[in-house]
Amino acid sequence: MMKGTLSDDLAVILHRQPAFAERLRDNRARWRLVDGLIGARRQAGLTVAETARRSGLTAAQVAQLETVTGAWPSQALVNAYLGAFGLLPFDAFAEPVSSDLEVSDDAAEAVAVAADEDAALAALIAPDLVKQADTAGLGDAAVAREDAAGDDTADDQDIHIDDLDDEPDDDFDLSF
Amino acid sequence: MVSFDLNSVADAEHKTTFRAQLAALDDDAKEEAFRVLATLAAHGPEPAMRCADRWGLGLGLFACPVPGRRRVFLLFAQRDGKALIFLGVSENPSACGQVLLRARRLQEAGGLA
Repeated sequence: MMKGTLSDDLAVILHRQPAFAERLRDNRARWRLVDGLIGARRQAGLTVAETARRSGLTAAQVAQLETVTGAWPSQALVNAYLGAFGLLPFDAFAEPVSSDLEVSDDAAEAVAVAADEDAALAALIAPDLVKQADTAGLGDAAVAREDAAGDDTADDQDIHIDDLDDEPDDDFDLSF
Repeated sequence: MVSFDLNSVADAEHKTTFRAQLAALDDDAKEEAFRVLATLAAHGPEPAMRCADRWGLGLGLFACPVPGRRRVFLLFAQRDGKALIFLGVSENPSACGQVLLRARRLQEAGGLA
């Protein structure tokens, strides 16, 4: 596989799978929501487990809030999530409604970062990126060369390892 | 600066490319995996690098939920603290274990390709 930035690699994936790229574009609003939520959590320096503890949600609910597929989360869940960081959903984008609910400087910064992340995300899944990939030699021709050189046959179904299980594990709180 | 490398483990036993593995997922799992990758691309590799440090092996496994009580696993390694190598993506924990074991062997043999 060619070396490049991760964004380049993702652009190639989207280029090869236009239907998938269209799906992502159609789901852009959900991506922005999740990116904003995760951005706020990262800015606060909290793990999923800590966010769950502060918000009164389960770790599974927090994790589900940070997914971009499935049913949209309820407003109550979003409120509880943002409450873990001292944010209220509407205060985050407007003036505080009272001194008790004042948005801290850190929280305001988190919102600003989330806005930047929105822009980065929008750029990532924008159609122009595919054109950039072509221009940079990461389009079909490069992909065809790699396909000719590689063997994509899956061979990973035989060996088992005891350390991994199918159940959610808080130790795997590795979300961003 | 930490670089990304989307290669799979480059040994003779395991030639499945990361992109092929990603393409093999159903749409929901693929989108969730892509979301994690896009987050890394947008914000940098530090969370994944920390994840790779967690076991003290330079290998990491990120599990992201997929609707229907499923999870998709992204596997990665760090190389000399300077590169983040994506080892594979799968919904199959056993397959993940296989990839991690191979990566571990490669590390012990002198490093990941």
